[in-house]
Formats: sequence, C-alpha cells, structure tokens
Amino acid sequence: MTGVRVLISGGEAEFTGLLVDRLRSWGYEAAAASDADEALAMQATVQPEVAILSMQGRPTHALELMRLLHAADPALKVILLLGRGAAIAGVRGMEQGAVDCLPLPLDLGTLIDSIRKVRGNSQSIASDDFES
Amino acid sequence: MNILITVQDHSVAPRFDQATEVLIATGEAGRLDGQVRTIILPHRSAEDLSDLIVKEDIDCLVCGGIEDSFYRFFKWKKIRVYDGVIGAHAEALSLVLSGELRPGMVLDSARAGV
Repeated sequence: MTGVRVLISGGEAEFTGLLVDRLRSWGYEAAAASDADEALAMQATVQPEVAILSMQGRPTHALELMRLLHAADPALKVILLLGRGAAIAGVRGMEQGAVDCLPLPLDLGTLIDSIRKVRGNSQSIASDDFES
Repeated sequence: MNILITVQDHSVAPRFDQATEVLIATGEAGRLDGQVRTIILPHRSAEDLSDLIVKEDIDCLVCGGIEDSFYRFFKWKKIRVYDGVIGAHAEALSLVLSGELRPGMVLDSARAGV
C-alpha cells in the first residue's frame, strides 16, 4: 500500500522527522506538524487519511487536537502514541474515537501494521522484506 | 541471540546516548530468525535506551561510543557489548551474526565511505 497520506504531530522534532523519513521509505506520504496549530492548518492542505498523535508529555493536548481534527474530518483515522504514564489518557482517546494506541518507544513495524489495518488492508509487515 | 544495534542515518550511531533509532534482530550462526524490527525512541535518553535493552531481553548490543557506567551496567547484566563500532548497521548485523564483529571495529562500509 503506497501513497496513504499521514500527518504526524506531537513529540520532539527529531522524533517526528525520523518518523516522516521512515514512513516515506515505506511509500507513505508523510508530513509532520510542529504543534497543534500547524497540524490543523496542514489538515486542509495535506488532507491526511491517518493522523499519528504523540501523547508524550501532554496527553490532553493530543486528545484536544484529535477532537478538532475529527470536527473537520470525521473519517480521519487517528493513532495515538502513548508515552510513559499515559495509559489512562490512551483509553480515553480510544473512547473518543482513536482507532489505535501504540506505546513509545515506537516499533515501526507495529505502526505500519496499524496503518494498514485502519486503512482496511490487513496484510502484515511480516510478509514484506525488511527495509533499512 | 537477541541483538540490538543503535542506528543513525543507516550507520551504527556514533554515541549510545544520542541514538533515537535502534534495530532489533534475532539470529545466530550467520542467520536471521524472523524480521528485523526498527524502534524509534521519542527522545535521546541513554536511560530509556537501557530500559528498552533490558525489556527486550537483548543478549548483544552493538553501538558506537558508550559511557563507562552504562557499559559496566550491561556487562553486569551479562549483555555482550560491541562498542566503538564504525560503519553501516547492515554490515555490523551481518558480522555479529557470523561471530566476526569485534569492539572498536572499523567496518569496510566506513572505509569505503558508504
């Protein structure tokens, strides 16, 4: 599956930048926003199908951003990344419409499997060749 | 044998405490068992990286420079540490699987500037 538009927000710039690079190497059209305002602005231009929101540090900010993104596009699939101690906020996020919660540090293969699943393609990354 | 390699830009990360990406692989005798997993850390932290190494039950760590306290911690945990390795992570993985990797090794990929 290639060309899926993915918007990443939250977390340190080095983390989001690395994640953009790795997702692009797998064929995704990934872009990162540095904060919630930029994420909302990019929603109109990027028109993401999947949003990956880090709850590292400020989980309530990620939930508020998810609410605003869903207000503009109810079909947007949101995957939350849970930092240490964010389990309760993660459960709240699932109740509020997130399609998956993944722990940090982030296993890239697990993330790609999750994106494929929420996009309706259940083929596991385990059947693909490893890309460095 | 569970192997973890700290990575930066497709090479072994020059400093353990600065790595934000790692590869985890399982295998030995020159063969990989299963997939190589890529793990991305949310920020630079030698402590968090050490937690990951223990949690993943790593037997063998391949890295660049590493602070002495962490080196001693991993030795105490009976984790083999190949530190000071310079070169492409794919070559490092191949060499550790075949038992040819040594601490401080400058790999062919580094000599060739790959």
